[in-house]
Amino acid sequence: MLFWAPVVGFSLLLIYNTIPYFSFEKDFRFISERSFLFESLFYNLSFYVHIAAGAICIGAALIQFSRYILKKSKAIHRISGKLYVFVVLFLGAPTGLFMSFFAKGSFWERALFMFMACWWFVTTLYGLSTIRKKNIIAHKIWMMRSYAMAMTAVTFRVYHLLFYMLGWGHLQNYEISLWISVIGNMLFAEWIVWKQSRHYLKSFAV
Amino acid sequence: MKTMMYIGAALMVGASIYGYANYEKARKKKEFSEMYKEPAPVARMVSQPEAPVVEEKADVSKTSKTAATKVDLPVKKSTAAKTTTERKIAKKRKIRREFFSRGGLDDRFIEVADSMVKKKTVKEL
Repeated sequence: MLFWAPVVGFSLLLIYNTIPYFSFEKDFRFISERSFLFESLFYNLSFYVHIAAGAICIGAALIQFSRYILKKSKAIHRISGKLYVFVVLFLGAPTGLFMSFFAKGSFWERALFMFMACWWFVTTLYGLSTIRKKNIIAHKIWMMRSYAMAMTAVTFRVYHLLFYMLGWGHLQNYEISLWISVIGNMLFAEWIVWKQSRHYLKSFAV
Repeated sequence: MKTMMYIGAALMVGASIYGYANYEKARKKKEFSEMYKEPAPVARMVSQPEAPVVEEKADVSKTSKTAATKVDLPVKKSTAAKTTTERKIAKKRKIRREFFSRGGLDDRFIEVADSMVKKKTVKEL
């Protein structure tokens, strides 16, 4: 509960803040900063598809990790899972990869965005293939890794705000928040996997 | 399953090739190289009241020989004033719902600093 309350709260805030972008106005800070890129129709299309995909993924993932919903109705889990996989593989990751070439920061930040898009794609694909083979444990692990990548959007904003409050300069804040959110989320996911696998392995002990 | 993987992989490869081609085109343009440059430091300079320090020092040295003790006091006051303004700026950095975005937060800071300067000038007048 202590973990999920802020996760749900920040995720819903992210989704709520995404909605105004669909007024298609250009006076948002993110868009006005990249006005040169937004002259391109393809970049425009990628951006709007990516933010819609991100909002759907984060919303759908909230349902996926609920044990209550899984127990009550597996159909809900399956439907929202299929939606999540479809959106990541065909919309979120490819548009993210395209946009990563034009991301803010140095070469390394762009490379990090590219890695995020590719890793998000790979982990989701593995999550899908493992459940097809009925390997639930592996499915859980891969989907946790996929969700950790999806959640970088949320954790980035939290760090960004935190460092802003501490008075950090914008670019420095942006770059450090990005690295901490990606590496932090990956490590956190691996920690949960390690913690759960320990419990699982213990169950085999005599 | 395989078709999904192939379609997804094709989209990823397509996105990377098209992205790289577009990036190569865009990087040659001036607008792209100057896109993320920050105009931030100007506003910070404006918000700090540096001028009074010089004036106070000059006035005190003219008036008396025991300036050494008197000189320190006004400087301390002005530095104290500096820190209070900085604190005010820090306090003014309130979290708003809209700040929860990937967009830059620097412009809002500039706005805060500008509004502080405006208030000061009104008070001085």
